[in-house]
Order: sequence, then C-alpha cells, then structure tokens
Amino acid sequence: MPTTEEVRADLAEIVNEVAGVPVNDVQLDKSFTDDLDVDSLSMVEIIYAAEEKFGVSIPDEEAKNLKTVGDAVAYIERAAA
Amino acid sequence: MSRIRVVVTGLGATTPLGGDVSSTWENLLAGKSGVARIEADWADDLPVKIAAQAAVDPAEILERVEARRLDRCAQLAVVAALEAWRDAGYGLREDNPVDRERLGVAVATGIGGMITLLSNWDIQKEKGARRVSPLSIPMLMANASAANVSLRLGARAGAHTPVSA
Repeated sequence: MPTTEEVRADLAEIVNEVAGVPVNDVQLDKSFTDDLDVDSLSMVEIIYAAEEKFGVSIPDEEAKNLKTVGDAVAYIERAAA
Repeated sequence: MSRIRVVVTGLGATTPLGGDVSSTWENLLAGKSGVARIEADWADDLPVKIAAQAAVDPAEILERVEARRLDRCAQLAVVAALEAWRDAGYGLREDNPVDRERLGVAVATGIGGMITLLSNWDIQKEKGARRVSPLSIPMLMANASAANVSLRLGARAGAHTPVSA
C-alpha cells in the first residue's frame, strides 16, 4: 500500500514529464492551474498517465474536481484502495 | 506582370547528412551518403531496412516539453527554421526586430504528422477513443510545421503549407 508521499512523488514525476514542472513544486497544497501553470491539455494527459500508473479510473466528471495536487492524490488513494 | 524580388537572408537545415547547414554542406561536398541501416525494431520485418534518416534527432535539440507537443515532422521544421532565423541575425525576444504583422511563414510537407496519426490510431484500437491524445490534431495536421514555426517566431501574417509536386 503506497504512502501519500509515494503517490505524490509518482504524480510529481508525471506532471514533470508532461508539463515540465519541477517535481519539488508538485506539493499537495498546489493548484494545478493557478500555482503550477498546467494548461487544460496537459491536465488531460496527466489524468491519463495517472490512470495508467496507479491502475485507477478517473472519469471526466471526477477529473474536473481535482483542482489541487492533494485532491488528485486523495482521489487516487481512495480509488486504489 | 511585375517581378517579385526575393532575398535569402538565412539558411537552416537538418538532414540525413547533418543536423545543420554547415555539416550538411561539408558532408555533401565530401560525397558522403546519408543512407544507413534502420536500427529501430519496427524495421525488423520490413524487406527494405535502409533509409536516409535525419542525422540528428530533433527531439534532442528542442526543450523536452516543447518536443513532446510536436510530431517529428514539426520538430524538424522548427529546428531548421530556428537555424535559418538565427543565421539571418535575429533572435526570439527583444533581439527580434521584425514587425510581427509583416512576418508570415510557409513550410511545405508531403504528409505532416504521420507518426502521431498512426500511433493514435493504434491507441484508439487498443485502448479506446478516450485515450486518444488531446493533442492529436495539432500534432498530426499538415500545417503543424508552419503553425509552430509561426508561434516560435511570433509571426502574425499567416502560416501556410503548400503541397505540390
């Protein structure tokens, strides 16, 4: 069972790969769009990559509510449980 | 009919002979061939295993995040266009004195972003329509090369893609 920090770190790798954001900037309290400057197309790619990486499903209705890194990590932890 | 005078102010090239104009020209004059065996494994089952492939991978030259949003076709165009732009003595920021409203781009291509088209077709077959990249169209469209060069240079007078034989 991965820890919250492990999920955050894996998600940070994805955000870095897709949008070039430094991994250390991808912290739980950060908003994808406002703080990390991730645009909507990158968000779609990040969601897909997260689905693959964590083996979870993130339907569009859920994805649009994932505003911060913490939201995404919490969703992934619930979905993977 | 009035004659239009054209001036060539810069050259850029990325070819099977070299990743820029000078190495391409040097190898051309030296009589080198740009044809080589295709090492990639997708060529294993092909009857023809040789091709003239770009000597320098454009993805190695461009920033990773930018390269990621460009099909190889547009990557090659951007690399060559940037060399030509610099050769003309211009930069991309304050050192770009050209009036953007009078700067247009024309980059021809035979097909365009074929790799993006084929790989997203495979993805749709294997994983469903939802997994098709949201960037498929901007990457595979034939005018992607002209469009991305325009974006890089801030050109506002049009991006065109002539295709002819």
